[in-house]
Amino acid sequence: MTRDSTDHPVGLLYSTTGSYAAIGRDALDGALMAVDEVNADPAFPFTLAPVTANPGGVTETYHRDCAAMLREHGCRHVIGTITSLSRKEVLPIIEKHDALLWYMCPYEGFECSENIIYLGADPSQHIVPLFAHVLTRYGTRGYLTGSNYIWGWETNRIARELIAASGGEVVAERYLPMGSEDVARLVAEIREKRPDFVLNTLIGPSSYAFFRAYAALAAADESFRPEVRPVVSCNLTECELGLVGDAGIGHLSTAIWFDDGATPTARAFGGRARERFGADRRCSANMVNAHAAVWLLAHAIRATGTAAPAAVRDWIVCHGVETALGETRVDAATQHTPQVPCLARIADGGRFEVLARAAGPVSPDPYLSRLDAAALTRADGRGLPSALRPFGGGARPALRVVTP
Amino acid sequence: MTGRRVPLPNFRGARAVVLHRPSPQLEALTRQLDRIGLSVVRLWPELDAAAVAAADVLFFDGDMCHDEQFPWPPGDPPVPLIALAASEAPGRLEWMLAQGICAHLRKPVGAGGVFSALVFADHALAQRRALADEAADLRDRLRRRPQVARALMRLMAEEGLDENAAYRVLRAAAMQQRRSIEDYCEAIVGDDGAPPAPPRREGLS
Repeated sequence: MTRDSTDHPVGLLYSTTGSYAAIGRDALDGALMAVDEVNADPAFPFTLAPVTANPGGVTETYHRDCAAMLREHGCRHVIGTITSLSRKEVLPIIEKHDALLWYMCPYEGFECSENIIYLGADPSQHIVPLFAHVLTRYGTRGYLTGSNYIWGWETNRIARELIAASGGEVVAERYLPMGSEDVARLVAEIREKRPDFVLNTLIGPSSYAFFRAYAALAAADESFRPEVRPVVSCNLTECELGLVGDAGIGHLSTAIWFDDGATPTARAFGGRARERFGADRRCSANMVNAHAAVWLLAHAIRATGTAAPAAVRDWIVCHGVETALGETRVDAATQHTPQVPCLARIADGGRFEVLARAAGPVSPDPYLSRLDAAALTRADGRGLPSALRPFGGGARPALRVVTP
Repeated sequence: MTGRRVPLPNFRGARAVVLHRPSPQLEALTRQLDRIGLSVVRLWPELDAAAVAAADVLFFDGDMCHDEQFPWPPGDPPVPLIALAASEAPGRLEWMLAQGICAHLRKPVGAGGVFSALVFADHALAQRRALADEAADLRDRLRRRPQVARALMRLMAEEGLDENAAYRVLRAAAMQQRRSIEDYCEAIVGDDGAPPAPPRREGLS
C-alpha cells in the first residue's frame, strides 16, 4: 500500500446562508469537527484539507462551487448538498469527474448514482416508519403540504400511496413556493377539513411559519392540539427547533438519530460536540451524519492508501466503520446505508423525546421495491419489516403523550 | 401538482430480458434493474421464446439487433421494448421505430434513466394497446353500419316513424338488452332471412 498524498482536499459544500442555512451550518460543523478529529489522530497518517464553499442556498450556484472544488482544488470527494435540487445540480459534474459525492440528508429516493454514497434515510427509512406509526394511531385522513419542489412532491406522492393502500383519504395536497410564509390559507383549510394529521414537507421559514400558525389554531380550537392532530415531518431535526420555537412542541418527526443520549456512542458524540460548540448546543442527525461521512472517508483512505473514488467506494461497501452513529455500513447494491429510524416528539428546550426506535437497522430500498403499503395499518404489524415493528399499530398499545 | 395522475407501476418481481451481446456495460443496467426489483435474464443472440413468454420487459441492443432476432410479427412486440443504443444513425433509428420501441436508453447505460425508461415503456405499451383496442372496436362498428341503416329503414317503414324516433327505439332496445346498437341491429336484420320482430319498448304501442 502506498499513499498517493498526505494531504487530501475534501470539498464541504453546504449553504450556511439562505433559507435552509440552519441545516447547512449544522452539517458543516459536524464535518469540520470530524476533519479536526481525523487530523489530530495519529492513527491516520494523512490530513484532510477541507475546501469549503457557501452556495447560499441558491441552486444555480452549486454547480459552479462544486466545479471549483473539483477543478481548482483537486477534490475527489465532496461532502455536501442538502436539498435534492442541489444534489441533482451537482451530480452531472461529479459524474463527469468521476468524483464521489457524500450525501447525508433524508431524501425522496428513486436515485442510485454510482458516484454518490447515500448516508441519509431513503423513504423506506423515513416516511414508511413514520406512517406505520401515524396512520395506526391518529387515523388515515391526511393533509399533505410541502415546499414546491421535488422533496415535497415525491414524499407526498409516497404518502398518497401509503394512505390509499390503508383505505384512507388525502383531504388536500398544497404547496408553497420555497421561502413563502403565506400559510394562512393552509391553516384555514386544515381547520375546515379537520384531517387526522398533517404531513409537513415544507422547508425553512415556510415550515417555521406553518408551525406558528398551526399552534395559533390549536390555541383557538383544542381539537387541533398535537396529541389530537399532529403535524408530522421527515426532515425536522434539533438544528431547526430553535427556529420553530414552542409552536413545535408535541408534534412528531422521524430521523435516523436524535440527540437523546440513548447510547454510549451518542452520549460521547454529544459530549465532544458540546465541548467544541458550547454547553447548550443541540446536535442533530445532520451534524452527526456529516461527521460520520468524514470518518467513513478517512477510514477508506487509510485502508486503501488512496483517495481515488473508485477504490474508496469499493472499500466502503465491503467494510463497516464505527462512527458516531454506531456501526455504519454502506450497502453494496444501492450505495445507500442501513439505518435505524427513530420517531420522536418535540419536547421543550429544543429537544426531542424518542417514542419509537427501530429494533435494528432497516436495509435501504431506494426504489421501494419491497414496500407492502397495505401492511402499515394491518393490526398485527405483519408485513412490516421486523425492524420496523416498534412503529406498527400492533406492536404495542398506543403511546400516550406525556407533558414533560 | 395538478392534472391527471398516471399511477406508477411497481416493478417488484417483474422479469427483464436483456438481448445484447455480452458487454461490461450491462453490469450497471443489471445492478440498477435489481435495485428496482426486477430479475434479469441476459441472452444473445437467440431470443428464446420461453424467456420472452415469461418476461415483462425486453431491453435490446439497438446497435446490433436485426429483424430475425424477434420472434413476433414486426412492430407488434408482446412486451414493452426498450432500446439500448449508442448509434443515432437514421437507419438504426428507423429500424428501432419499426420494432415498436417504447423507450430508449443512450449508451453508456448507467443507473440514471433506467427507472424512467421502465415507467415510460410500460405506459407506452399500455396506451398503444388501449388505442389499438379502441380502433378495432370502432372499425368493427363502422363495418356494421349497413346493418344499422337497414334496421333503421325497416323500422321507419314498418312503424311509420321518422328517422330520429326510429333510432331512439333501436338505441333503447339495445340498451335494454345490454348490447351494442350494432349487435342488436345485426340480430334484427339477420342475414336478410326472416328477421325477428323488433321488440317493443315499454310504453310504445
